[in-house]
Amino acid sequence: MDYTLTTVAPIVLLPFFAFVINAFIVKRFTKLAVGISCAAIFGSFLYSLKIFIDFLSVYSTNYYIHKVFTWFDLSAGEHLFKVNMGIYIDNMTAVMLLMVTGAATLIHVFSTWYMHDDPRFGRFFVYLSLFTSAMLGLVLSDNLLSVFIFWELMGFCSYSLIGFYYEKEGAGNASMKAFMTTRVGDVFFLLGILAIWSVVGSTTFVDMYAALAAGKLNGIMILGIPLATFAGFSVFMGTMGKSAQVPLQVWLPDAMWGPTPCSALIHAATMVAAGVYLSLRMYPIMEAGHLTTFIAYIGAITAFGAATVALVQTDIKAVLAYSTISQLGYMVIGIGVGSYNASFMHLITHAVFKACLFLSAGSVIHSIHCQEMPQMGGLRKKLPYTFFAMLLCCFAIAGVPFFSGFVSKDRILGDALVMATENKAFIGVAILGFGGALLTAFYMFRMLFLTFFGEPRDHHIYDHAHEEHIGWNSNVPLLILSLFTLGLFYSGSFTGQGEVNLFGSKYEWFQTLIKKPEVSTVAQFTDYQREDLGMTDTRDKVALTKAAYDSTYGLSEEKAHHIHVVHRIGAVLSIFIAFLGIFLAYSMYVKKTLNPGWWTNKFAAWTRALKNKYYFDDLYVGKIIQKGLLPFNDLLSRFDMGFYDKYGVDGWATVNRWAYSVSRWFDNNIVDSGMVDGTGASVRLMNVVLRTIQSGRVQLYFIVLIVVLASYVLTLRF
Amino acid sequence: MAGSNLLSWILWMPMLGVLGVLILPKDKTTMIKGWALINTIITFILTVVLYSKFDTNQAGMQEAFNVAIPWISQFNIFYRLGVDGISLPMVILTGLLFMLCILSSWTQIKKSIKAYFALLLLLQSTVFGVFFALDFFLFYVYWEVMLIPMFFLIGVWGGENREYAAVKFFLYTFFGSILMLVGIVALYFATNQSVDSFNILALSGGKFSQLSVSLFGTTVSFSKIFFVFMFIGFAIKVPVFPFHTWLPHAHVQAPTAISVILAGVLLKMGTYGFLRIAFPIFPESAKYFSTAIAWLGLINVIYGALCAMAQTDVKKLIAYSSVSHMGFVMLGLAAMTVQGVNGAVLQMFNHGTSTAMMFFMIGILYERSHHRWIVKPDGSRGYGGLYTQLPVYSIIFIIGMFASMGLPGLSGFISEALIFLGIYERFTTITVLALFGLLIGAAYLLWMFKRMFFGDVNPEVKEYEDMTKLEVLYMAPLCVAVILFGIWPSPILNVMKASVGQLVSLLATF
Repeated sequence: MDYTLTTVAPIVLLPFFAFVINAFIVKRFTKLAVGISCAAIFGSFLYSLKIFIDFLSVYSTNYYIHKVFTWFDLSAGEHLFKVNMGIYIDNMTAVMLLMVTGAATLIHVFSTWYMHDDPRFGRFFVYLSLFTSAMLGLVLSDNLLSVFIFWELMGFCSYSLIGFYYEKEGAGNASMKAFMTTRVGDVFFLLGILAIWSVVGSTTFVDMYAALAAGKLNGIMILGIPLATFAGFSVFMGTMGKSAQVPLQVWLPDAMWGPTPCSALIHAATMVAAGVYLSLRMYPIMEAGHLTTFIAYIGAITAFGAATVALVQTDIKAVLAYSTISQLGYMVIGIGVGSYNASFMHLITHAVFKACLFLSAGSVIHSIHCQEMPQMGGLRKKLPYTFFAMLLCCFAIAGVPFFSGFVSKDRILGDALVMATENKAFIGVAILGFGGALLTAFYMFRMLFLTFFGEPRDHHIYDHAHEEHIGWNSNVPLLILSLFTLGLFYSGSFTGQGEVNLFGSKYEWFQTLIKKPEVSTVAQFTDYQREDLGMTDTRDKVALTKAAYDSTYGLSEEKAHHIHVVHRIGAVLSIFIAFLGIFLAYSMYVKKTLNPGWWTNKFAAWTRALKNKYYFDDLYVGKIIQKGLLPFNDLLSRFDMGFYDKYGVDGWATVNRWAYSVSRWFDNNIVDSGMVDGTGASVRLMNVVLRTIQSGRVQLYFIVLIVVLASYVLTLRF
Repeated sequence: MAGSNLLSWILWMPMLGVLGVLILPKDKTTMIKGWALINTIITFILTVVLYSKFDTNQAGMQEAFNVAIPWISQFNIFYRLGVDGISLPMVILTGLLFMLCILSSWTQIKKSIKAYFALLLLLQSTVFGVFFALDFFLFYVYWEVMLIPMFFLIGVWGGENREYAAVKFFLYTFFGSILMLVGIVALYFATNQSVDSFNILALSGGKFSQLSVSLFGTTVSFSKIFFVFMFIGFAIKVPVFPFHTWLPHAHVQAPTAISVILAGVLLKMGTYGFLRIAFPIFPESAKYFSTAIAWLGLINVIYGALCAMAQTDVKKLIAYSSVSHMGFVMLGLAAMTVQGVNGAVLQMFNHGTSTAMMFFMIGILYERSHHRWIVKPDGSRGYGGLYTQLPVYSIIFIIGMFASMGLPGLSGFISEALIFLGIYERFTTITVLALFGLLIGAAYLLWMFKRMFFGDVNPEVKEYEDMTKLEVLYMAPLCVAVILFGIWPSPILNVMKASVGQLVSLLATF
């Protein structure tokens, strides 16, 4: 498997070319455009699958491919400055590629059903292709700059797709809000890139790790903050924007203005996860910057807070949006507590089940033309496949054993618990994490029960739900995605090198292949040389010893035992919590032994706060922007034109007029009456000159000014 | 034609056009327009020929193209032309934009067509003159003569308050020119009126660092005092805060094509002046004042962006955005690092294309709406629902807007990233603050876009037609430029990097 730039490029370029071609033909041949988009992403998927299989066959933690080329070169004379771009494929990239292309392919197929009666059917696929291409570019990037480029391009696609129904005012507001909120994070991200670039001399991940291992980042202060902290925090701000972490989470619920398949792809499976992906790549810097506690708390607050808001939502997509924020919070907790592998696994498992949930919600919405859950109910008879898919996904997200969400979330929570036992500062993280898990199980099953169970609450809607409108291209993607909510795909072993164990044991392909870049092992990169374009990779593909697969490898026996015990407690606890949440939802919404209305009355102030999303929008839009920024801008603009320009600049006209009257007085009283009579013609000539100057033409004053200044310069002594 | 005459050909070709326009009878408007178009196309082709013959390894002036003919021998004034990597992108930009402006004026200009096209071509010639001149006197002559066509183009074909704007533009620039002229005279005497007294290249290199003059009884550094003079002269053109207030007036009143030229080319003459004259002649002072320049650039970025956000007139908004974006160029110049200055020169080019797009687009809309209010003075919305009504227009507008915002993949990003990288190494605090300019920059553009394009269709908007073929024709090259140079900046960076490197090395020695 000799991958070079040219052989890997098609993954990104296929969707990109689909975008370029479609952008021109979309008006006339909509069906062709859709076909091209789907074919392109399917091609990328096949290629990614090949890469994935190749990496599995190598089965080594440290194996990676890194190829670079020079994007542009500013070297001139003694100045050396080059900007390189390149691809970096390691196990994480390979898994990510497979997930992105797989989910994107299925969502493309689903979109051919969901969007087919939309007048802008073709245009939707144009954006979808551009987006997929950008996302794949980001995944393949070997450096922060190209991550940033694709990151912003995805932001643009997200902006365009949220504002897809542009005749609606709300879509316009939502798209602007999404772009601006993420841009707050992006500005910091760019700052982090600059900080790293200026010290490391490049922004590639490998160079960064090498510089960190070599201690190049030590002792450098930026504005009084250590470099690693400064850069790590700045980049993490990017993550907070893109992955909707508190306090930059406000845009994601509004992003639901976009068509549902785009919510599934962009705002659930891929783009929002890119933030977490970036933080995983930057993990060594963040760890070196002592940011883990901060990150863990951001994640925990987000995971819990968003879960509470999800409790009171009635719009099916809004529930999913808040659940996305909450689940992204779990990934961020994973980063914070050093659960690198599980955090990434949760990224993948979440992408699958959340994409499936959104697509299921899409089928429901498209079948009944309604998003409000109080008007649904009893739909499982009408939409059995959708119900089945959604049920599996709800099991997964709630953390029921044997499902993917359990495998990944349990590990994150287990590690949070381990951290809490070692460091008191993390106790809050563990509490919020487990609390959020309870709420997650509850609100997801609340959504499921409200939608599919009980009696139809709006018979008009129920009777007009048309199962027959649902085609293969709607159900097949759902069923494929729901299949991958089973835990065994993530916890098993494909190659026989480990033991298949469904309960999250030691020997799993995922845990073997995805390892956090430890700074100690990073030292191997210090003598790393850049490879030129097209050179083959000659590093050995060493299969590791069995011991190296062990997550407790290298730890003392006592410590390993401790971790083992705590993990087991965590697993039991999270299974209990999942079932408790499901049971509560069942009691409230199916059995109706508990009355949800009683709870909302009992905690009325809380409910109000939750319905208002903790007043973040009021603060940002209502207070900071409406009351602070815009009036300030108005004031500044008035100052600029109404005061500074009017008096500071045009005021010179008044000064000129004043000078004019002084000189006229001088002319009339002194020159004319005092001297002209005596000195005759020569002075009369002078008088003419002065009169001309006084004509009020300001240009002439300038000429005088030139002459005066020039003659003054003449007298200067050099 | 011989290579050595190419610059003269480019310089005088528009004058040939002026002559042709003057000869043609007044009522043959199509012939006049056609002649002007052909003329600008030839000029543009000549600039492309110049690009193709450009030797990217030469850091100084391209020897193959240098021209030096005595003009006023008594004062050692020469007709001296040359081109290097810093001026070439500007020359190509000038060639391109004037060609597109002729197309844009084709239907938009309805009164005194003959005079308009004659003045436009005259303007082109003088702009080329500024970018080619290597004799300080010649440079000054072109710099001043350029004001005349500009004055009339704004004052005659402009909006309702055109005379005020034209006079203000004229006087303000003229005020700056005087300071520059004083500097020229001072240099003339400082070099003892030698043969190289007006030779910009010969004056360059920090020859005046030790010189001091007595001014009002105190001894001050010659270099510092005249650097400040020249700085103000050029800063007015850029425009650098606090000399910026002529720009919104001039832009709002000028006809579309003239706004494009003003923002696309004329503003760059200010920063070009720094690169060609102020920095090389007084490098020690440039270094001395670099922190101040950087702060001024920062104020430009933030102040311009905040003011832009408050505007309800689209053209005024774009005008303030130019103030903000030219602030980035100033930041890059102040960085005086190879990344920063390359970024600044690239930003001069990229801002030329993206802001030209924005001004063209708003001009196209004005043709339909005859107003430019985002929110009308009575509080009702000026547009609304343009996305639904004008699909092609919307897409091109989006490209221009995001290019102007610096979206990666479009041209503005690379130059801004380079500028930030350059400035970061010298002024970290300023970088952190200037980055917020990117945030506000996105805010005012997107907010404008939201108010104009989203929502249900405003009844007034329902009558607008989408872009005509002619309009698409002259927007297409700019779309290609912002996308192409966003993905592949090397064609421009390669020509400038040697010259920029030389300038940075010079600055680094002080």
